[in-house]
Amino acid sequence: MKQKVLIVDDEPRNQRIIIESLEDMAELKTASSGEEAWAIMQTWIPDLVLLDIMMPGIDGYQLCKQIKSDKRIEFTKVILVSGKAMIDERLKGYEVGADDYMTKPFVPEELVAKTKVFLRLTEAEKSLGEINLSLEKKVEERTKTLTETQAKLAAAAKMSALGEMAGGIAHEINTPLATIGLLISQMEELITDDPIDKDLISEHLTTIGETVKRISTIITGLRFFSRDGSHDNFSQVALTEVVKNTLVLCQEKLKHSNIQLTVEPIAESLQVDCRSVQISQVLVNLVGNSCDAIQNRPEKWIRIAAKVQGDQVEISVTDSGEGIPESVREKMFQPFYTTKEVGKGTGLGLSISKGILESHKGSLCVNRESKNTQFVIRLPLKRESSQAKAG
Amino acid sequence: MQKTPEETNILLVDDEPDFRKALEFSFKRAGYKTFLAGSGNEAFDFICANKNIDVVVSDIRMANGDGVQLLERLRERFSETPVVLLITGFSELTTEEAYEKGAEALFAKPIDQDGLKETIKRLLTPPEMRWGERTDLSATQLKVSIQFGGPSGVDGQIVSIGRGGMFVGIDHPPYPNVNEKVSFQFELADHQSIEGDGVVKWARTGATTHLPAGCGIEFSYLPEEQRKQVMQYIEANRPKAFIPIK
Repeated sequence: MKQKVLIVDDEPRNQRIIIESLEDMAELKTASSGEEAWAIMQTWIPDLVLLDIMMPGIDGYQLCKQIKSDKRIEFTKVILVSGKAMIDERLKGYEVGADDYMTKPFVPEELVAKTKVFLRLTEAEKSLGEINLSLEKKVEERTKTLTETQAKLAAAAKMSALGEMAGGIAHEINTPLATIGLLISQMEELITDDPIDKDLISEHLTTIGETVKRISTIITGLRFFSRDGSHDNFSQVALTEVVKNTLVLCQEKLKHSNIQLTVEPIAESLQVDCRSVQISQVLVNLVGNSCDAIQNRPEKWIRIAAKVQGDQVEISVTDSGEGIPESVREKMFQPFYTTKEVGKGTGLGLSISKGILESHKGSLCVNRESKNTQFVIRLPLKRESSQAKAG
Repeated sequence: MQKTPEETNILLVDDEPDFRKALEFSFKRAGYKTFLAGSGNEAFDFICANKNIDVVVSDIRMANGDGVQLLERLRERFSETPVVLLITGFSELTTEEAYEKGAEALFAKPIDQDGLKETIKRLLTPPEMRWGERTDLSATQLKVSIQFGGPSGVDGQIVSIGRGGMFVGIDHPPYPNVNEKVSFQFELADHQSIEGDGVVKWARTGATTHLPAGCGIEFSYLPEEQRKQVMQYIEANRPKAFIPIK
């Protein structure tokens, strides 16, 4: 496709000279005034404007300024044409954004050469612009994918934590179920006895009732944890509830590994404004890590405590390990960093936990002062009102 | 030869007191003498101190020595005490591994109480009697006939014999289904032809890096003469596995 050149000159003779020189290399249009030129450019965007300065009405400087400030025609090049060759005239031309300056009368070869250079430039700039645009689009798309992937990873990490617990949870549910099953078949036999031992049956029924309650506690914890809480609203919850619901899930893994878990009493009245499912995820992550880390130690315990510190609550998860080596501490909050053996961890737990707490305007860090390994969660007790609106 | 329930000592091992109690009640009512342990280590110590335990029923997941460790320690010391493992369906131990390690039977929680009692009764029957009755097959239809090297049915090759069954290598489909009753025919090393019936306990329908494809079959019936041959073979080789994994 031919490139477009607009010739703006109030002198028909000048227009003709230019047309004769350029008609083979571009599609040409002419205008005799600034107003006419501007009107043409509303529908026909030229690549180059050869613009006479001295015209009645809108003069060349003014039109040039107008062109250069219009985003729609940002690639259009402007060469000012004038009989004057004074340096201050030229400078004024550059000031209004002109790309070049030519004096009349011109040498046709120079006009052709200059036009060629500028048309080439416009074309290059245009294609550069397109590349930029598509790059921007790509970056935008990638950013979107990345954000989605991060969200998926966070969900996957949670599911992986759940998966690691699944065997234990299944055991924890199947055993009481087996108890119920046995008791029921025993009662079926017992009711055929004569006389029927009512006390024994009543005892069986009590055990069944208690066992059912135990199963439902586990299911509650599971339902609480497996929900995607990332879009939940913040709400005021009793910290002790969150801790209780969380730990029922870890209990079996701890019991199986012979780890003593102590939760120091947390006041019922201690409430935090949070997405409780996410805080639960952080706790499962920390307790799970502790569990893996102290598995083979002679002394195995985990202690959870919470205290109010100013306008924050500090939840500490301490285990019988002897702290984290400097080399690990530096990298452990980075995604995909793991010290666990292949297949054991995603390497995402701590980085996701940190992200969750940051989204709560809180923090997660290691207490280096502690003799034992201690992670400290800090959460604001109340969010500021501006955050409340945003959340 | 066969002990009555009153003469039988069962050790029940589980870390869950309610379950242990319910299980105890069930066996006591059937007349058995029961003993309880809350962990694998406790059970092992108890068996070492009381050598008259006839059968062990143990949970797998426990702190202080799990059921698998208990089984392994027992098999190192007294290869004969039957062990029934209770699994939850999510345990790290596969059925094949359990039989390879020497477990006599597996039950998933929640357990089939009658099935468990039936199995224990069978395990307490010495092999020469246990394999003498063909009651199993009269009740159900025979579905698959394994003719080792034969022209029909499932075509396989016997690879190894354990205390209670055998591993049959099968290179290509069809594979028998788990719990399917099968009749088989094979030759021991001395060309003695063995015919009998069994139950498929597990099937591996593709080879893994370390294990060939095939299935594990528990013997349920062997004719008298051939029963003696198989028992002599077991006596001579003393395999640890109840059903070998390969």
